[in-house]
Amino acid sequence: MKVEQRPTESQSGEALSDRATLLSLYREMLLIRRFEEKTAEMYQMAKIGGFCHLNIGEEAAIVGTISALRPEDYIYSNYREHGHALAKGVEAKAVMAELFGKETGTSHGRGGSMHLFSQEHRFYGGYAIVGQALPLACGTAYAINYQDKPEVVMSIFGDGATNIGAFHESLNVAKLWHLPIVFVCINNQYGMGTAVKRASAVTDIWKKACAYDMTGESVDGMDVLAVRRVADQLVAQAREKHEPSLLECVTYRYRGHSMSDPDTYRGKDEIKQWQGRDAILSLGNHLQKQKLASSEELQKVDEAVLSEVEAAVKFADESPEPSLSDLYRDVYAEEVS
Amino acid sequence: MANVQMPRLSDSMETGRILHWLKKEGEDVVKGEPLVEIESDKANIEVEAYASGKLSKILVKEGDSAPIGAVIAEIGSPSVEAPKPQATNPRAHVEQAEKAASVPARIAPAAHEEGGGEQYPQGGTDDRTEVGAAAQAALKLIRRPAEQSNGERQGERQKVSPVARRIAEEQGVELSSVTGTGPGGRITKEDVEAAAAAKSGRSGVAAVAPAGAVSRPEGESEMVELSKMQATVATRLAQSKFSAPHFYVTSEVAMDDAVRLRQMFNEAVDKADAISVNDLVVKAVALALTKFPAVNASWADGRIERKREINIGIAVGLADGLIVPVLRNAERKSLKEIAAESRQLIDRARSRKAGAQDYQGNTFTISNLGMYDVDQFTAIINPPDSAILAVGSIEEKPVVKAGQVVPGKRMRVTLSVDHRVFYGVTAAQFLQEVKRLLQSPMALVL
Amino acid sequence: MQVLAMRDALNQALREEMTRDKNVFLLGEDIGLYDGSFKVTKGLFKEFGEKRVLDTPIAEEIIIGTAIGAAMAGLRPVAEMMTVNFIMVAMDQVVNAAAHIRYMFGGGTRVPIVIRTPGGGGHQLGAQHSHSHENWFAHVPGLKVVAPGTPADAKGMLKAAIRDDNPVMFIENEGTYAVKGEVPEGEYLTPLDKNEVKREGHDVTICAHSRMLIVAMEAAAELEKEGISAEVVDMRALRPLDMTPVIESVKKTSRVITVEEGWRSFGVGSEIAARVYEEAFDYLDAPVARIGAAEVPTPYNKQLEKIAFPARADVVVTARALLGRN
Repeated sequence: MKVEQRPTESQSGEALSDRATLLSLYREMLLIRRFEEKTAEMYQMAKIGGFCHLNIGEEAAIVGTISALRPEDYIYSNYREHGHALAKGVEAKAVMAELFGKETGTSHGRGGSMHLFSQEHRFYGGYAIVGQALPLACGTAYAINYQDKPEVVMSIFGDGATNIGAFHESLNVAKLWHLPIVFVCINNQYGMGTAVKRASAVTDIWKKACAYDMTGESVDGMDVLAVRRVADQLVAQAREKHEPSLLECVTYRYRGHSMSDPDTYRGKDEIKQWQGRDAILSLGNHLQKQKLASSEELQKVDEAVLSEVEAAVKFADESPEPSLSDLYRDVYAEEVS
Repeated sequence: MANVQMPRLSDSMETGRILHWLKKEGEDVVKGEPLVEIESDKANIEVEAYASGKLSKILVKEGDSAPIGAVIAEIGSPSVEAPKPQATNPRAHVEQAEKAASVPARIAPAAHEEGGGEQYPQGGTDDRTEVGAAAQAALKLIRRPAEQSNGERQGERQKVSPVARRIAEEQGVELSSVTGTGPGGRITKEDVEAAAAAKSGRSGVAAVAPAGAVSRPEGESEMVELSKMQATVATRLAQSKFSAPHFYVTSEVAMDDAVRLRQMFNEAVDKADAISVNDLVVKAVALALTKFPAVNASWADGRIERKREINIGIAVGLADGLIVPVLRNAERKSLKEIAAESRQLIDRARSRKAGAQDYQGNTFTISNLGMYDVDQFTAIINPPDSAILAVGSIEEKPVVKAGQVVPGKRMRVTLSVDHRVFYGVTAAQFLQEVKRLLQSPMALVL
Repeated sequence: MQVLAMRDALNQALREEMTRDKNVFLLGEDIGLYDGSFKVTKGLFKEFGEKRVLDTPIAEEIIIGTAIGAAMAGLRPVAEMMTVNFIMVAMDQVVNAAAHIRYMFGGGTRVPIVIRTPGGGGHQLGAQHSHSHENWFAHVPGLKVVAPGTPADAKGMLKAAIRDDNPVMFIENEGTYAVKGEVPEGEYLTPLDKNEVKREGHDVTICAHSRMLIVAMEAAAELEKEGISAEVVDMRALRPLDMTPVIESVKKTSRVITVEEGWRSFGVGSEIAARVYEEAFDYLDAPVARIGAAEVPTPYNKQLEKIAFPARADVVVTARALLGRN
């Protein structure tokens, strides 16, 4: 059983002290935070319907991993995906319009919160069935090999998904077929209402990779720089050596499973504890301590992000509903009676 | 300035009651801090402010209710510039997240009791009044347009529903003598049962009339059974009257020129080819409909179906009922053709020789009681039309012409309209056009 | 008579059967500590403990497979599929194992399991969360399939299902958990193979099950106002499919409408129609009219979703059309 050692600071440290990169990471995390807060507000105003799962608290794990990808790399996500889409480059207004069910949404209003999609950004979808996307991700990775392309697939899922059959089948073939894939587990400690230790025999999720002789890594999901360092290395490993890996980001969701979850299965102390390690806050402090940005500058970033979110809401509000006569559009790739 | 709206706090909530404002008017509010306590249908919930500023106005007082989305307060003052995004210090978004996290916990106890769990959002109530896509496939099949039966009925395969066939056999009814009223002229259970009843009614009585058989004279009144046709007419017209909101527009037409034109025409042709006043009305109406497609339309489950053809139904009274044969594509036919076809249709109707296709496809109907010395009357719309024109007698009466009182020939027509399909102005303008054509009747000859 | 919500009637049934028989146990996702995502299993974890109310990982094949294996060793499991949408992950266990084991082992064993699972849509939950699959299960020999539409039927049929020695697909509906109804006091069972006229009438027969039963009953009330008398037959027993009340009804009305929440083609209505033609052909005045969901993956947008699922208006307009009253 081989487990790769965590890369040392010096290997990728330089890139992550660059002011532009750090500010970019800061902005992306803040965009997700503000977007998700606004989403909660819009849901309470009944402008968003159905299920709504938020990324609040997970920003570092999301931005740290996805920012290591190139635009031509693919992402397969799950239903807690708004932040993933934003981090991959999907416009905030297209995401908000989709949440509002409008024709201008990423999925033309047919998908909603759980089924975002973007061909342009290679964001290959949100899925509502736990573990469903892992085999799909393997398929795309297989096609990359088949076509001799230099791309990488990132498959993002939660801790709950690591107990379902499709997870194990996917890790097995990824290793067997040398797929250029990074499996990212956002371990936010709970699968809906069930804590990891009540659902998984192995609570150090990264260890499950060893069953497939695969690289397994665990990283503090509240530290965006740590996440990014590891992600850089694992993405490179996938791209250059076609060695798949499993990266566990240990993080937390501040809110319930969804907007409909009364969240009675967690103590308030636990939530407070994790909030004390807030990723955006810590990066902000780091930037100021390193004299890379002033607090005024960070405030300006916040203002810009809030503007962007407001604009997204306005766009979504003003966008048209799908036409009822288009109910049957796109069931098939061509007209079928 | 930011509006504070009544939030949706549970999926079944429709209105909320303000329990307690946690800030007073004029107080400063920071985004994320608790602002107001609201009673939803499930629990009492503390709601945070989504904007920072002064709580400038409270619009819904404590104890009052408001529906979801209603503005309950205002934060900040109305200003000309675009609202600046509420920037906060970096610490703030952690505090906000903390406060946000504290909110759901309050919902918990009540939700728990109510049995929501993950609280799957509840769907909307069944308030859809129009038919949707779910029933479209079934409805399309039921309303399949009748296949035109080409050729005579004898020798051709009759459409008979299984139960009608069975009852016909049981009751010894000859199917070839039964008129089918189902889709495509299908003979239905009702048709056979009516025929069977008529048969048994007839066998004991010498009367020739196929229907209206007197069966039970009781004291001072007589019960008359309805013929199949009468029963159908009764049902359809009752349905029409009770589902379509009717309104009426009357117009008096100067028929002097029309009458003269008819006279000249009939002097020039054989008696067999003579045209009637009704033929003139049919042509005038058909031409007017080309200009008013909104009138040549039907109400179709919440939408308006504009018909491509102009097929005029001509109401024909019979001894035991009312029948409306249809003159198709009337706008394309000459007066001569209209006259000839009308005659044939009416003959076939009166002699019961008409086939199903004679009675289908009407887009507008004319009912003419002019030969019975009727000033005017209102008719009931013949479904699926959206209008019917009731024609009265031509009367010689004093009229004013260039300041002088002179004799003139006047005819009153009354248009009954389904108010769901078109309205007063269209009705009036359509009628104006019909009148114009009848008053300049050379236009009908073209 | 007590008045209970559907979820509470089901809860009572589970509690009563678990008390009566020590071999009855429950398993599923978040059914224990969380009290169930729809609160059907509320309070049972506290009362019976974690061995008899087993919280499983998110692993559907494990949920069904474990239930089957335990049943073959003498226990009487009630497995929950959080929603029917997730059952597709475990279809192999449901069909190739649960439904086939007794037969293919020559009757040497039995699989007395109940799989409880809610289906249905209309809550903007999107394409992967809005399915109805009772027609799939009803296609498979070896399974029993029931879909109660009232709290009284739900309680009686769940108790009966637990005592039945066959694998029973117990179809619930997300939209009816809060629906209240009268439930008899005391001990009672409702047969798993009897359909029932829930409203008498003589102009048209409406066959419906689960949430559509409620839609059909409301449509019948509305039709009554315009002089159309509809007879509503509750198709709560789908496999075996009890057609007796349907045939009796058709002989009276000569016209049939079927309504289901699943897609129209190859749906429950297709089987009902086929049997009506086989057994009551000479009583029909018109072909059977089938109403089902529009054949699209369920859209998220609220208005699109509303017209895609059958509602009262669809049943009313179809009944009128069938009777020639457009």
